[in-house]
Amino acid sequence: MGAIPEPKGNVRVVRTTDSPNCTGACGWLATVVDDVIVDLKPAADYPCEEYNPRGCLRGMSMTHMIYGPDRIKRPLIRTGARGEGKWREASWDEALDYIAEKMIHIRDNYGYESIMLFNQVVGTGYVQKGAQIRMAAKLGMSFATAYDFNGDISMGFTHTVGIDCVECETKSWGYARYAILWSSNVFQTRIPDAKFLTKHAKQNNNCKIVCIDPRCSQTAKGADLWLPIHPGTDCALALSMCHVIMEKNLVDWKFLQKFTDCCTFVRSDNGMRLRASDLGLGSESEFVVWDEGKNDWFVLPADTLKLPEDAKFAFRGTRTVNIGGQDVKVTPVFQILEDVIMRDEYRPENVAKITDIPAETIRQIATEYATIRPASIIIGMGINHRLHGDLTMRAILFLASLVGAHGKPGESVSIYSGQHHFRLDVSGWWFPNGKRPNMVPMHYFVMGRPTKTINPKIKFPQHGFHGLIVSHANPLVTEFSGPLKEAIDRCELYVAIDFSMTPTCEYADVVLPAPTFWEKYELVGTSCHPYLQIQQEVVPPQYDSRTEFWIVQELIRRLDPSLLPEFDYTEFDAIEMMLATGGKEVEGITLDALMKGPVRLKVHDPECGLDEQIHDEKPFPPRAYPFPEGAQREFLKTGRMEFYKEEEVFGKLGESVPVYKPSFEHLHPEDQALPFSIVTPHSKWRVHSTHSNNPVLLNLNRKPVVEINPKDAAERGISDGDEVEIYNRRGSYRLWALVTEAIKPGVLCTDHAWWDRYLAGGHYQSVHTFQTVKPTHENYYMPAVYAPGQHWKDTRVEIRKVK
Amino acid sequence: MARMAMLIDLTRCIGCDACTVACKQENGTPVDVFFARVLNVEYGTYPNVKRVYIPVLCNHCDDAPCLKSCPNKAIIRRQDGIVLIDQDRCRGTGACVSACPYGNIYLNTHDHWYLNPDEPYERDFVKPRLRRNVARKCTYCAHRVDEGLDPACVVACPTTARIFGDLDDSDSVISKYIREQKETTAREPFHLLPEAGTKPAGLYLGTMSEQQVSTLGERAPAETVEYVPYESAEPPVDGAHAGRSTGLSLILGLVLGFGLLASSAQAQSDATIASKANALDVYSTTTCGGCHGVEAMGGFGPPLARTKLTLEEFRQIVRKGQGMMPSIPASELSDADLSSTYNEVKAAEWKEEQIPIAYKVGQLLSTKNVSKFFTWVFIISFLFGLKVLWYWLSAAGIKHLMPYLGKVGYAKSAFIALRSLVVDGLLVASLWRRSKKRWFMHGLMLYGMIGLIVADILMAIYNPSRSHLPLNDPLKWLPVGSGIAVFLGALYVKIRYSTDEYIDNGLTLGRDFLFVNLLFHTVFSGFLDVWIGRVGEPGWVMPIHIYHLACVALLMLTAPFTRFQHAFVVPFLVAMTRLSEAVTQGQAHPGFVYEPSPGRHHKSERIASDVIQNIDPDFKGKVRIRYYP
Repeated sequence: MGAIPEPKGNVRVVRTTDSPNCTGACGWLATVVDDVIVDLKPAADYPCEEYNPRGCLRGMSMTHMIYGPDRIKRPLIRTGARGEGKWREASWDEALDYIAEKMIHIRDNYGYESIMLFNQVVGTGYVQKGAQIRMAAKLGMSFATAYDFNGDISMGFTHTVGIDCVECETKSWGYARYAILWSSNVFQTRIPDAKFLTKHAKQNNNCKIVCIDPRCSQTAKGADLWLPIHPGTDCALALSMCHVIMEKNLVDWKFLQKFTDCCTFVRSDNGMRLRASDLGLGSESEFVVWDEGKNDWFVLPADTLKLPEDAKFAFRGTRTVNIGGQDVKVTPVFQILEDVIMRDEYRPENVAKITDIPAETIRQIATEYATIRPASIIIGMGINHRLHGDLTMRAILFLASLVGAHGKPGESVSIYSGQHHFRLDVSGWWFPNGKRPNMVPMHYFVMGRPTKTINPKIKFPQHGFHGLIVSHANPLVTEFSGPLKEAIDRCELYVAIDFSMTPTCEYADVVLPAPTFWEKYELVGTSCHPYLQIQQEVVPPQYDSRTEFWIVQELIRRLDPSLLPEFDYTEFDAIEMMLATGGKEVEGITLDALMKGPVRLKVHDPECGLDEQIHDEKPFPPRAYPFPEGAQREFLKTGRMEFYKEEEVFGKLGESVPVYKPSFEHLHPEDQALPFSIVTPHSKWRVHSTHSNNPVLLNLNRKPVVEINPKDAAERGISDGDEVEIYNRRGSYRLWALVTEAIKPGVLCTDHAWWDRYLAGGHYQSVHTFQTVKPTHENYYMPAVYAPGQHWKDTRVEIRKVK
Repeated sequence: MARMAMLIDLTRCIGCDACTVACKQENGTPVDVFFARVLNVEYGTYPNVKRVYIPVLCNHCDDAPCLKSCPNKAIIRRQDGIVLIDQDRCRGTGACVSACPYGNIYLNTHDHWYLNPDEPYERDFVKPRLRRNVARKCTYCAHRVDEGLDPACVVACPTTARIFGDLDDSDSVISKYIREQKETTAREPFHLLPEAGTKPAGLYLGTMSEQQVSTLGERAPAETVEYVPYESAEPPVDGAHAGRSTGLSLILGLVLGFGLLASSAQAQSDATIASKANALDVYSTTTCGGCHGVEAMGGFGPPLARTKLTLEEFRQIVRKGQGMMPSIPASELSDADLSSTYNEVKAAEWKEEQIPIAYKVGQLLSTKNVSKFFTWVFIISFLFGLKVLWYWLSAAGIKHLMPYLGKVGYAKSAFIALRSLVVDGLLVASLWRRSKKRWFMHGLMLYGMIGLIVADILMAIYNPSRSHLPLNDPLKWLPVGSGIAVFLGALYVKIRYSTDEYIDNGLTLGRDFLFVNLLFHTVFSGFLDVWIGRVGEPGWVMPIHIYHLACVALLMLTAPFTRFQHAFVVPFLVAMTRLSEAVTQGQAHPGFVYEPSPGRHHKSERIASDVIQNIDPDFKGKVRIRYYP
C-alpha cells in the first residue's frame, strides 16, 4: 500500500526535554536512527496527568533547526569588516586562541570587567549557561542578565511584592471560574499550557474569560468578552475597577489587613512610613498599625503574616502622633489609596473615555471579578513593556488584593514574563565560593556609560566595555539593535556562540558553533510547571559544535590554567552539585530519579504563586534564587504587599501609590502626533527570534505582515497584501499589509522578532522607543529582580503604501 | 466492524498548528503539502469581529468522493473506514484533488524540500516516506493505528482537542466523549459540508466561548471613509459568465450523450443477418424464421398476409433491406421469384391466431420504436449524467472558485478547461506519461466507443433505414473495428478486475463490476447478434437482439452511477484541478497567494462559511480566512 517505510538502522528512543526561551520545558520522546533524530513526540509522562501532553509546533520542528540550512557547522573567524559576511572556517584551537589572545589583551589594558558576558535565559538551563557564568565569576568579567534587557522584568511586581514576577503553575488556571487575560495571548505564547484555559477552566467550569487586548488576538477566540482597549490605558482600567469595587464595598478587608501594607501609616511630614521606632514601640524595621478593637497601636510582626484572631486594624482616619517631640499627622495607606482611586477621574464614566471601554462594562467586570470565585488574572508583556508599565502592574495587584484574589487554586495574578525564576539555588555551581561576576545591566553597556541616576551598587567598568561575548542570544534582532551595534563597534572583541547563524552572529568577530538543546546535557526547570527535568544528549554535538561547558574549559585553559581544577567537572557533577545545595524545593531529588523522568519539586500542589505568603503566612517577598533569603527585604521593608512606596524618588514622580499616567506623555511631541500605536506581540511561529529561519514554520507563515484595520488602510490606499512602510523619526521598515477587522483602528500590529532578511526592507522594529531608565527602577539594584526594564510599546508610528 | 473517526473540539482548539507540524514530521511531506491544516478564520466587522480555528484533515468519508473519482482505483476504503491512496497505484491523474470538497488531497508535479539536499535527516528519513508525482493525503496515520497508536496529530495536540477512536464501539474514547459532551455541555457533534453528501468520519464540536465585545468603538465609525473590505479585489459573481461555463459542460454532455445514443443504435444496425445463397429457397422452406429466427415465424401468416404494400414497395424493401430485414440482391432472388412471393403473400389469409408473440415483439423493435426508446434512455441518462456531473463540480468547489476565475479571465479559464478536457480527458495524458500499455488499453475502450458513436452518426446519415450492409461496406468497417476495440478493452478490464487484489476499494465494487459486466455484455452481445444472423441460427436472433438492446439500455441508464461515469467525470475534475492551479499561479487573490498549501483557498472558504453557519447561525456576512498570524 505504499505505507511509510520503517526506518532501518540502529533505532533508539530517548526521553528528554527542550529548553527554549518560551520556558515551556516540554518533555519529548526522540526517535534516533543511526544518530539522526528522525522523530519527536510529546513524552506525555508527567505524573500529573493534566500536563500531558506538552509540546508545540516549534518544539516539534526543531529537527529543521538542528539540521537546518543556517546551522553553524564550524568555528568562523571574520575576514572582512563587521557584518560584511566574509568568513574563514577555523579550527577550534585557532578560534579559541584568537579569543583568548584578545581577552588577555583587554584584561591587561582594562581588566576583565571590561568584557561583558550576555547569555539568554539562564533560567532555562542551569548547567551549560551556568558554566559560562562560573567562568565570568572566576575571572571577574561583567555579566548582564538578559531578563532586564529583554524588558521582561516587571518592576510593578518588585515594588509591590518584592519579586519581579509571580507565576502560578499553569495547572492552577484550570480551577478558575473567572479569568481576565490582560494583554496575554496565551493561545500563541503558552501553547502547551493553554489547555488549562480551554479544556479545564472553560469546558469543565464554564469559566468566563475576559480578554483585554487592542486586537482581537488569537486568544480572544477563546474569550467570552473581548475588550479592545486603547493601548497604554490599562492602568486606568485597573484603577477604575478598583474604584467600582471600593464604591460597592466588595472589598476583602481581612486580606488587606493581613497581607498588604494598607493599614500601615504614612507620615505627612516626610512621606515615610510610620515605624515602631517612631513611637518608641520597637525597631526601625518594624511597622505599626492602629488596632481599633484594642484602641492601641499594634506592631506588625516581622517574621510572620499571622495576626491575632481579633485583629481589627484601622483602614481610614488620619491620626496625630508625637514623633521626637513633634506632632505629625499619619494616615493609613488604604486611605491614601482610597483618596486617589475614588477621585472623579477614575469613575468608570471618565475612564471609559480614556480606555474606550464602556462604563457599564467596567462596572460589570469589576463586580464579576470581585464576586465570582476563583478569579484569575493572567498578564502578558504588552502592558509591561511601557515606561509606566510598573504603575499598571501595581494597579492590577491592588485590584486583586482588594478582593483577596491571590495564592489560591485558580486565583492569582500571574505574569508570564520571561520566566527567569530559578526553581533551585544554582549558586553552588555558578558562584564558586560565593564569588559572583560583576553584574551590570545591559542597558549601560548599550549606552556606553552609566546614567546619572545609576544605582551605586552597579560597578560600571572604570574603562568602559571593550569586549562582548554573546551566547545563545540574538540582541541584534531587537528593538534595540541599532544602538547595540554602535556599542559593539566600540569593542575590540565580539564573540557570538550559537547553533544558528543569526544576525547577531553575522556581526561577530568570531562565531563558535554550539549544540542545540538536543545535543547536550542540562538540568531544566521552568515556572510554567513544577517539574525538574534532565535534558539528554540525544545525539552527540552535531557537525563541529562543542558544548558551552567544553568551550569554557578550553578558554580557561588558555586564560588562566591555574583555575582549571575549578572547571574540571562533567555536566552530571554540576547537576549533582546544584541538587545538593539547591534548597528545600529540590531536597531529596537525585540525579538518578531525574534520569528516569520528570520529578515534581517540593512545592505546593497546585502551586498558586505566593503560596508561602498566602498559605504559609511567611512574610513577603518570595525568595528570588539565586539570591540569599532576605536580600530583597531592603525594597520591601514591611514584608507585606506594598501599595505605598515611601522612597523619595516615587514621591517626586507622584508615584507613591499607583496612578494612571498617559503612556505617550514621555514621547517627543512629533512622535505623539503620529496616528498609530504599534503593538508587537509574540507569535506562535517563533520563540523570540528563534525559529525565524525555521524552514517548516516559514512555509506556514511566509511573510512579516502588519495588521491594520480596513478603515485605516482605506484612508491610506492600502489593500491586503500591499507592501507598506512603517516609519517614524527613529527608523522605518517595509513589510506587507494584512488588512483585518480584528484590530482596533489606530493600532498597528507586527509580531515580534522577524529577522531583517525576511522584510521587504529596512530594519525590523527600528521604530521603537529608545531606552530611557525610570529613576524608580534604579534606587535599588538586584539583577533581574530590581533593575531597569524596557518600554518598546510606547511607540507612535505612521504607515504608508510603498508605490 | 469498526469505524475510525476523529472528533475535533473547537472549544479546546487554540489553533496552534502543532497538529500541522506533527503530521508533517510523521508523514515526511514536502514543502507546501500539509495533510493536516488549521484554518484561521475571522468574520464580522470591527468591533464585532470573531475568530475561530478550524483544523482540517482528510475526513475519511463513508461515501468518499476521492475514491469514487479515482480512475485507477488507487484509493481504497479499509474495513475500519480509513480511506487510503495507494502510492504504488496512483498515476497522478488529479481527479481526486478536485473531487475532495474539503481540499485535503495533494498532488505536486515537483516536490520541494526544506533542508540542504545532503542532510541525512531529510535525504534518508523524510524523502523516502512518500512517493513523488502521486496524490497524497492524510491516512489517519494508518501505520500507527495498525499498531494500536493514535495518529500523530492526536498525540501532539497540546490541548487534546483531537479525539480519535472507533465510533462503532460505544466504549471507545470518542464515543464516550460525544456522550459526555452532550450531557455536560449540551453540544452535538457536526460534520463539515453535510450538503456535499460525503458522510465524513470527521466530527466537530462547537466553541463554547461567547466572543462578545464591549467598546465605545471610538475611532471605528468612520463611515465617511471609503471602505475597502478585506477581499475587495474580488468582483461579484457574474451570472452571465457562470452561464457560459455551464453551457460548455452542457455542450459536452450533449456530445457524450448523443454518442451514447448513436452507439446503441449502431449496435442495433448490426442486427442484420447473413445472406443466403438463394433467398427464395430459404424463404419457401423456412419462411421468415429462416433468417429471423423461429420467433419471427408468421411471415406467411397475418403480418404479411393481405399486405398493403405495392409490389414496387415490397421489392424496394427486399432489395435494400430494412431494420432487421437483410437486403437481398437479384442474384439471390430473381425479380420473377420476388413477384411470385409478393403474390403469395398478398393472397394469403389473415389469421389472427397465427400471429406469434415474436412478431409483436418484432413490431415493437422497429427502427422507429428503437430510436424512440433510446432517445428516452438517452434523455434520462443524460439528465442523471448532468446531475452527477454537477455533484462532482460542486465537490470541486466550482461555485467558490468561480469568482476567482473571473480574476483569471473567463475566456482564459474556458480555454484552460477546454485544453484540459482535450489533453487530460480525450488524450488521457496522465496515462500516456505513466504507462503506454495502460494508455493503449484505455484507448481501445475510449476511442472504440468514440468510433461506435461516429459510426452510428454516419449510419444515421447514410443508411437511415438501418438496412443491411455487407461486411465489406466502408460504412461497416468503423463499427466493427470499434466494436472489436471496445471488446478487447472490456475483456482486458474484466481480466484485470478478476486478478487485481486491490480491486475492492471498499465502496464502489458493485457498481464497478456492474459497469464492466454491462459493457462486456453489450459488446459481446453486439457481435453475437451480427454473427448469429449471419450463421443462420434463426431461433436465437430475436433473443440475442433483445439481450443486446437491453444491455445497451442498461449500460446507458446506469452510466451516470457506475464506473462509466469516470469517462466523463474525470476529465471535468482534472479540468477543475487545472483551473485551481491557474487561479493559484495567476495570484488571483491574496488568499491563493498566501495559503501554505496552494490551490485550495476556495474550498477552505466554503468550509469556513459552513462552520460559521453551524456555530453562529445568526451571522450573515463575509467569512475571511487569514493565513498569517
